[in-house]
Amino acid sequence: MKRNYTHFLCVLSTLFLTVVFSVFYQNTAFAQEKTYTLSGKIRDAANGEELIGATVLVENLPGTGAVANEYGFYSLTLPTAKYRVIVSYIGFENQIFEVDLTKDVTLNVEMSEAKNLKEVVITGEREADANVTEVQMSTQVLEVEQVKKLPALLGEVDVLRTLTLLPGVQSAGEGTGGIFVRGGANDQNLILLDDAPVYNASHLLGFFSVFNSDAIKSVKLYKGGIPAQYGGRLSSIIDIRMKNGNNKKFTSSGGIGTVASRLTVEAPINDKSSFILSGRRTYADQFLRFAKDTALRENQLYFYDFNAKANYEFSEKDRIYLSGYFGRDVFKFGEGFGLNWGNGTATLRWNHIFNQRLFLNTTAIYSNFNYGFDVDDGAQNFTWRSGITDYAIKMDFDYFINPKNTLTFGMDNIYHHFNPTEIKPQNDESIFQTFKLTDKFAFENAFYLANEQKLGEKLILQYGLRFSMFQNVGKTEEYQYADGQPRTDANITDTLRYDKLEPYSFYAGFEPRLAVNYKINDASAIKASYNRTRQYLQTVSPNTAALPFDRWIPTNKYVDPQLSDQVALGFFQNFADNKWEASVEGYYKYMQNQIDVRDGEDLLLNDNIEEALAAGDAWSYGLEVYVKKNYGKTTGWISYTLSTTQRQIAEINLGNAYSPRYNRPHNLAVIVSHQFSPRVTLAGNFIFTSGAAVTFPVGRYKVGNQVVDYYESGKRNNSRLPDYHRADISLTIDGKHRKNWKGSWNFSIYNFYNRKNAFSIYFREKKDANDEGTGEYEAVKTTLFGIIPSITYNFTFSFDKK
Amino acid sequence: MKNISFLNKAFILLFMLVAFSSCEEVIDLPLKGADSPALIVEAEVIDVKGYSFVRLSETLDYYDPKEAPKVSGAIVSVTDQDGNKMNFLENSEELGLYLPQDPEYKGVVGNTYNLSIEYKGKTFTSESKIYRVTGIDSLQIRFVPETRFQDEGYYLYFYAKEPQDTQDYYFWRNYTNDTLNYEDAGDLIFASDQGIGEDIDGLQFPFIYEAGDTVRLEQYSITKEAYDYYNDLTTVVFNDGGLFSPPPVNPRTNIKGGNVLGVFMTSSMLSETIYVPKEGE
Repeated sequence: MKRNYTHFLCVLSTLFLTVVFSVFYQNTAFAQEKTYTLSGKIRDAANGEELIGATVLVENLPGTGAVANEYGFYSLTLPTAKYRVIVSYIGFENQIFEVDLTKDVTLNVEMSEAKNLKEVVITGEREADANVTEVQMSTQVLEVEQVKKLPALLGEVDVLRTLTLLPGVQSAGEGTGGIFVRGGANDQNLILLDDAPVYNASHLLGFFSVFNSDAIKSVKLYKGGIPAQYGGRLSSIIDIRMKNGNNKKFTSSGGIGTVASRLTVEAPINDKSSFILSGRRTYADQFLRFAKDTALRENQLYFYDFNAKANYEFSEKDRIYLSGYFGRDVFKFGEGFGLNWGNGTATLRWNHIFNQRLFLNTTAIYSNFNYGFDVDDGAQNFTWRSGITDYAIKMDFDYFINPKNTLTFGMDNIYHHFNPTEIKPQNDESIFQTFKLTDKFAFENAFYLANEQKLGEKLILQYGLRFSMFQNVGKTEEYQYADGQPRTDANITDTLRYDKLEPYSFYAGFEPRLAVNYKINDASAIKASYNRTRQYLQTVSPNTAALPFDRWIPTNKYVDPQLSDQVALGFFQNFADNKWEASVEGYYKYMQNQIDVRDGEDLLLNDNIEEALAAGDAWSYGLEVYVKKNYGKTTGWISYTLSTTQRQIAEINLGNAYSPRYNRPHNLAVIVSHQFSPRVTLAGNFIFTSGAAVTFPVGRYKVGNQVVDYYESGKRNNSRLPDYHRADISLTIDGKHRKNWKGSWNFSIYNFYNRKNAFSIYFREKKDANDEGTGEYEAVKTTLFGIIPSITYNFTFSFDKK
Repeated sequence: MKNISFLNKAFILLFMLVAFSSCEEVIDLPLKGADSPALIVEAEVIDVKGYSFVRLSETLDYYDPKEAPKVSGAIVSVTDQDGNKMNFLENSEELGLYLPQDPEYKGVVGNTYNLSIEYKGKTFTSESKIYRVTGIDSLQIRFVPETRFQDEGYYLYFYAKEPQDTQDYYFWRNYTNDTLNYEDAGDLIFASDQGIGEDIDGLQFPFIYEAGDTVRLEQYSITKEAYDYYNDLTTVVFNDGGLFSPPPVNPRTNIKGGNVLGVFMTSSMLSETIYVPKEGE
């Protein structure tokens, strides 16, 4: 096999260009007339957290302003003059500054929460009229503090679950963690925790997500019109950022819940730095101690999370952040069977302000997901380990050219290590021998350049290009199959061995991104977007729900990269001085090289995984309606999605198009929160979705004594479970505000009218009183959650710096 | 390795049982029927006299309270690679059962056999080879006290040398006092040798015997296609239709000819017998 260095040449040349480009921009005077730059950081006066999305508006120049980036940095370049600028952020008091721009000015702003605005505000991280003024469409932002007031399963606040109540986002079903965005599969979401990918975001098989709400500052979901800065997955980016830690005063907060408890500590270290530590652990397994069955008492079933972050501002222009997450699920059934899984991530970020207009964020990332089985059943004993590890370096530049143009560019370099499975006997008695599937390695690189441009008063454009590459490297082995023959063991002609870092299979491609906002008037806008995304790694799994032992595999010469093209068009309207906002969006998405598993193939122990897979196309289209009330005593939203998703793969379902299980045409969510008094909030939600697409038997037959369901070929998932609906309610009562202590009680009732929603339907022979078969057959519905009440007590304890 | 493929199910099942008591309810759910019934074939050619048979039946609508219909009137034959043909004739005692015309008939290791079934104007065929079967070094019966995983009782342990140079697939039938232990598909014991070392020392079978029982183990050398069939069959039988299960599909079959399911299993077989000691022995 000829060595292929295309990839490295590509990476090197683009790297070179990026450097030249940034140097060029630093040293070139772009503006012709005499201009100066107003820049700085906008933070929360109470805890020093950056206010992402706060705006700086020039009073006498309508439509001229800047928005603070993810690190609270803004920059505004204007001709020499005196200006009045208004700094505002939703829920905070506006601040007005007189600026004499005869030289570059640094203006750092600390904002205080509006005292007279004790009302619930749903929107965070954006301005009141962002719905109309931002170029981004198909984006959803969650305010963590608000999510905490909504009803939660067993009282555990879960931001990922709340995302599924938004338009275009579906869950796989109750009690599962998968998220399906606009017809995309669960592995097509890039979930980032402080820029580190989280490969499996579920605890307890998906009952809860790994994100401890106490440690999280913001959640932003991109489901379309994805900016060029992001890539690597087809369907969505879920950008989750951890709190930095209060740099004003020591604060401790926590909660005692029905199944878990949490504790968070944050404090300044000195004037320049602060930290946050946050932990959570469930104690559901403690209830097993009360089980009647002694065997049950010996079981273990729990998870824990640990988040930590520290930041240090070592100069006016430089700040570093170090953050990490570690969480694990542990399941033990007596002595003989154990399973555990978890993620670990680490992020080191360096914000550097080159000058008033050029901002650089450099990030080094580590992410690992792994799982293991421990089985000890006499001679059948073994340990099983599997995982995936990423090392990455990212550079993201923000260049604020002038009030009309903001350029972003950068690069993203990831080294992936896939460790599919390694099985080792636990002792000499084991019938198993050491068995290892071949490790795989790859480089994934991307470069991007995008500009957001205002054309006149009405039109905003965001256009960008991302170029991504994927290079498989050794040390590994790949099988060679006979030309033109189906890929089966029998057709393997050779095993190709590659040395460490030896390149062998390369893919690259452009990903154009475009978004347009045409502002009709102050309260309404039309937006349109197109994006192409490419994805180079995927999970292979025949089931719908994400399981910890789903295997991640890279693109290689037998598995092509996934490709998606999406167009979206939307109308956005605000009412009553931005008190209400509404949007209607339509999308169409076409996805290529979608992988599914051939019938009956074993995935876990398959070293020739390409033999088990088949690829085809998928498409999805839908209409999303969203109405939200931002201010007032009553707030909330209504989200309705009408959509359909189909897949067509030649080797599966006789080549007929079929619905993935999560293809559910109707999705309605109504979320209402009402503040009865400053201390009492009542919230409720109602959810209605069509039943999941499933396959029911058309007949039965018998093999020996065993009755077997008979399915008609080519009719996969052509039936539906019954419609799903449910209502939850929660009451939050804040305690009296004492000097240092603030407590709050949350009472939740999940599924309060006790709807027996179908988790699955299966079929069986009817049994008589003596447990003997009657020769008649019946359908049985299983239900996971009936009515579930829960109580959580939350507290915050703080004292000011001495 | 059956145990490993079962880990998923075991784990999920246990999890559901332990964590939350999910509840069940019988519902009235109409089902679309099949356009036409499928032919179900269970056919075996074994290298032991009196072991080869073909059993034919058909599918019926799921809620139909009748027994699955047996197929009578089919023309069945098995031909080896040299063209030696053996007709399988309908048995007068059991409907749907076809036995070799010559009661002395048996398969030969290394031979390839072609099954042919003519029924309702259609011909169904299959081809399968007989591989040699690995020897059993010894069997043991041991008494195991109750543990969390299993009830107390006498269990069968198995010792053998697994040939490492060939890819082998195993199938076992287990008899207590000449009665096959087969309640449901969970009692189908089969394995691939993937990941298995040369020494199999004390592999336990999941059946419990009583003092004085006569235990017989039959070991079969099945083909990959037959292994896939048994694997798929167990998968579909234990598919609960839930999120953690793959979309249910019919087991793969090595029989061609259209609307047909089942397996043509050809195998070498050897059998060992062991006695459970009587009380006080």
